[in-house]
Amino acid sequence: MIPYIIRRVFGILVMLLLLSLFTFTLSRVVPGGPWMQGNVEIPLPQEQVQLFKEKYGLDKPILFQYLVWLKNAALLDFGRPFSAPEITVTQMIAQVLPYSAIVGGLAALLAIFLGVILGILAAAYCNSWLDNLITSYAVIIGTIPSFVMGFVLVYFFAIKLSWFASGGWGDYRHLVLPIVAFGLPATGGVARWTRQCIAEAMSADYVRTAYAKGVRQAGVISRHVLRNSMIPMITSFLPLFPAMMTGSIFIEATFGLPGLGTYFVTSSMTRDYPLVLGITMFWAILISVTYLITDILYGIIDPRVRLENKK
Amino acid sequence: MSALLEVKDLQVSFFTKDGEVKAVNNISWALDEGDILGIVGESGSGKSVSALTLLRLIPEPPGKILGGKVLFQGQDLLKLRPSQMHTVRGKQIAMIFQDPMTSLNPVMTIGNQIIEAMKVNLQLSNQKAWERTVEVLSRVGIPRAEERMRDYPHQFSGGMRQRVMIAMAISCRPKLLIADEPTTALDVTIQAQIVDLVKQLQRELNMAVIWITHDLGVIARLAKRVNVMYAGSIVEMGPIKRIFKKPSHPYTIGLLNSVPGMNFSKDVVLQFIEGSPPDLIRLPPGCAFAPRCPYMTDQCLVDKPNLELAEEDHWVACWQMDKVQSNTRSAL
Amino acid sequence: MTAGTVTPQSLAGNDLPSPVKYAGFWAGAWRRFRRNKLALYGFVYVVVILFVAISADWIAPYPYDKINPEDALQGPNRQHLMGVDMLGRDMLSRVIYGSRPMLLVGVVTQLAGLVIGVPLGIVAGYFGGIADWLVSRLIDLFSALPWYLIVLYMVMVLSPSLENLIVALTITSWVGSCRIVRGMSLSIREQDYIEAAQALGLPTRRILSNHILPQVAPLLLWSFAAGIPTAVFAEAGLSFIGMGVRPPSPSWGQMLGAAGQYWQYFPHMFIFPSLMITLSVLAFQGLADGLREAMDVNINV
Repeated sequence: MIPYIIRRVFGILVMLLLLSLFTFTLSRVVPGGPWMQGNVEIPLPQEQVQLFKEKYGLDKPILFQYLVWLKNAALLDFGRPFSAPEITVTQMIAQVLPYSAIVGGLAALLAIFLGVILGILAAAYCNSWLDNLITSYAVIIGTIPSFVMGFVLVYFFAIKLSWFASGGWGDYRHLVLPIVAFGLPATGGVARWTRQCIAEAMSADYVRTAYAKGVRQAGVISRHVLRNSMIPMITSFLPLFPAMMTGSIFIEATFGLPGLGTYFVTSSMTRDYPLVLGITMFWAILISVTYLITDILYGIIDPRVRLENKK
Repeated sequence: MSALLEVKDLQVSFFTKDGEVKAVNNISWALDEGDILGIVGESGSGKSVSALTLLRLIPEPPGKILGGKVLFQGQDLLKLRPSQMHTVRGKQIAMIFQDPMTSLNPVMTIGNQIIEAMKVNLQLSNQKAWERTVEVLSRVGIPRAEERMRDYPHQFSGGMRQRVMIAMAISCRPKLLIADEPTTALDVTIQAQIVDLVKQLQRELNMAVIWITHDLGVIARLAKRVNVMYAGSIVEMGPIKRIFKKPSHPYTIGLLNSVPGMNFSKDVVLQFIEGSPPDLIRLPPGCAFAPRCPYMTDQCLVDKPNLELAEEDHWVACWQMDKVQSNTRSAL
Repeated sequence: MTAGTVTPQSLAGNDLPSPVKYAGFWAGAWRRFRRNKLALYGFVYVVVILFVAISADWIAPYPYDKINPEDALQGPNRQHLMGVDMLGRDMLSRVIYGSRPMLLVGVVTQLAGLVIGVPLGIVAGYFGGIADWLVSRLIDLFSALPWYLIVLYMVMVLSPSLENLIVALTITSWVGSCRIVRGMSLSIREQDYIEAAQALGLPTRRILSNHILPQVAPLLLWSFAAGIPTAVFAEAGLSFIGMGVRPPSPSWGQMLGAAGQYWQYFPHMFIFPSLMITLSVLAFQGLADGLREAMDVNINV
């Protein structure tokens, strides 16, 4: 197990390296710089541009710039954003992260909770009208983009009914709609996957053996079906969290939330290099570490994998 | 002695979107206590389905038991509600299956799986169940049983896994063990070991055994009686010695013919039965074997033959029975 | 034994069970596909929308960029079946023209992705070695971040436009088909019949085209279809935040984004684009699911 983890961590580091190189070069290679406002160049006098470049070392060769960045990054110093030099990139991310994390995390929780319940129902009443209803619901709701869902919800619940706020941040009234808009479409995928995992386990040979032994339905479901279906289910649902925490861009735009996604967009447009790189690295690390944890978890709960690794 | 198990006019079909698959068409047979019955037939003959029906393990859609009785110790199992079947399964009638890898729960230790059987059927305490499990695992030939109980199915070889299944099945001392092609997926040498093991266990526990297979060699080694099945019906049944000595149904003869003897010369052509098994959705009105039968007459195509007595305790379903018998020499 | 080598006599005029007609893989797939209602809806919808996109110039009642400030913000009425937006442009025409970027992005990115991904996948899977290592590293790189982040970043840096969006989406979509093809090539390569073909001296090109491609084709068709809903969603989402199709060229996502605050009082501005986006994604999703069922694809790559 340990050598496996070490290998994976190494792979992640290599990937981060390549990713940072890719991001770095792309942003430097394309014409323009931090003096742009949304891809439109603000006419600045040449001397000011030159001063700016010198201050931030942007006049040096790209490779040199990258190595400088890399050296600092290895020490977890990602510099300071051009747009807010009074704080570090790390601090900025920390300030802004909660918006995305809370909305994304709770949305993922909603998706998993609701989706699993629906999926279990669908599998238990496999091929009945309930199953068909749930599957149809899952397909349709899964294809509604989150921002469309956002519009619909805001229209009905914020404007017509004034139950919740249509944007901004504050208490639960500001949170409900973004979380539902983001999480509800995801319940579709979760429900379908849950149903598939459980249905597969239910039709397995060992379930037949369990019945043949005299085990009653409750025992078969708890000891045989659920235990087996939990494995693929858990390993698929865990990555949902980082996915939704990083993917909240559209929701943030719809509801005007100052989250990490919004800052990623603005910092890319204004060529705020340190911030862009910092956010990119943060996301990449978050996602990779989650996958690593998922794989380790898989190795622990599935005896077939666990014991293979020991050999 | 009254029969342990009596099957009467059993009919099972599967309703699929392509039509009704008539898997078991009106079969009747009986089994005494301590008897060993072999059910022989190719894929699609209905042998597995009829066995699964005994324990009501057929998924009810799309399957359906259309009629008949399954009298186990006088009680009609088909009249029980499905939720009551657990009193019979494992405790009175146990079953082992063809592929032990997929038939065992991969995330549960084999010890726990056997203990589960005993706790459910015998209400033993954990301690007692543990001890019995070690006993029964040793009995079926698993070395270092106490250690191995904590292992998972994937850590055993194919033959060992089947032994585990057998241990699980006999752990509650059932009166009847149904074995659905348990050795088909195993090496020939392992096969022989498993067959011998079952033979021994049968003697020790005075257990009736139904062994389903397409392999005549296994039947010869183990069974006392044989039912030969084709396309959902029994075409010949009786004591094994009599059937081997005087096979009276063309299908049985074809089966026996197609097994090469140990000392066959290079010049002997391997015999096989022409044609292929019928589509169970579109069964012909007459004898299902007729299209492939060298003795076929017009009557065979139109009328389905019933099982008739060929000699004492030897039943054959063939209109041309006499002609067949006079034409063939003994298989022994 | 003397029995059993006589062949059965001819059985004229008897009702033997009739053999099921073996109609081939694609015909059977079509039959299964037809049974799935959502897939049929998807198929019909795609045909219709293709027609709309191609004939937009003829069927749109107004030019999509004709600004008419006096007419602004009307709800649906007889002159403007879908109403008017805040600059006075006819919504119906804009919706009709909006089908073009949607289809372009959806189809072109997937096709281009196939063109890149399939050869790379075959090379990696079949030839193995360094080629495989390289391709696998590339796949890993592009899988590290969620596709939308990569696309978003590339579009922002390259400046938002339809062309750049297509390029960015292509770069993230080739990974899907590449993985599939690589996986299949790897497993097929191990099969005995490939060994046999090689032993017979068949040129590699023949082996690839006669043995590997036909098996991979259904999977690719499915992968192509399955990627389209994501691409459509991407186009809608990115145009929504201003990173996609630039005005005045209409795109449904862009129309949603441009609706700004107006839509709260003039819901027709968000209803129609939202509806089109949802219906389109649903249709392509249905198609993809239908194809998967029809071809009985097992995507355990």
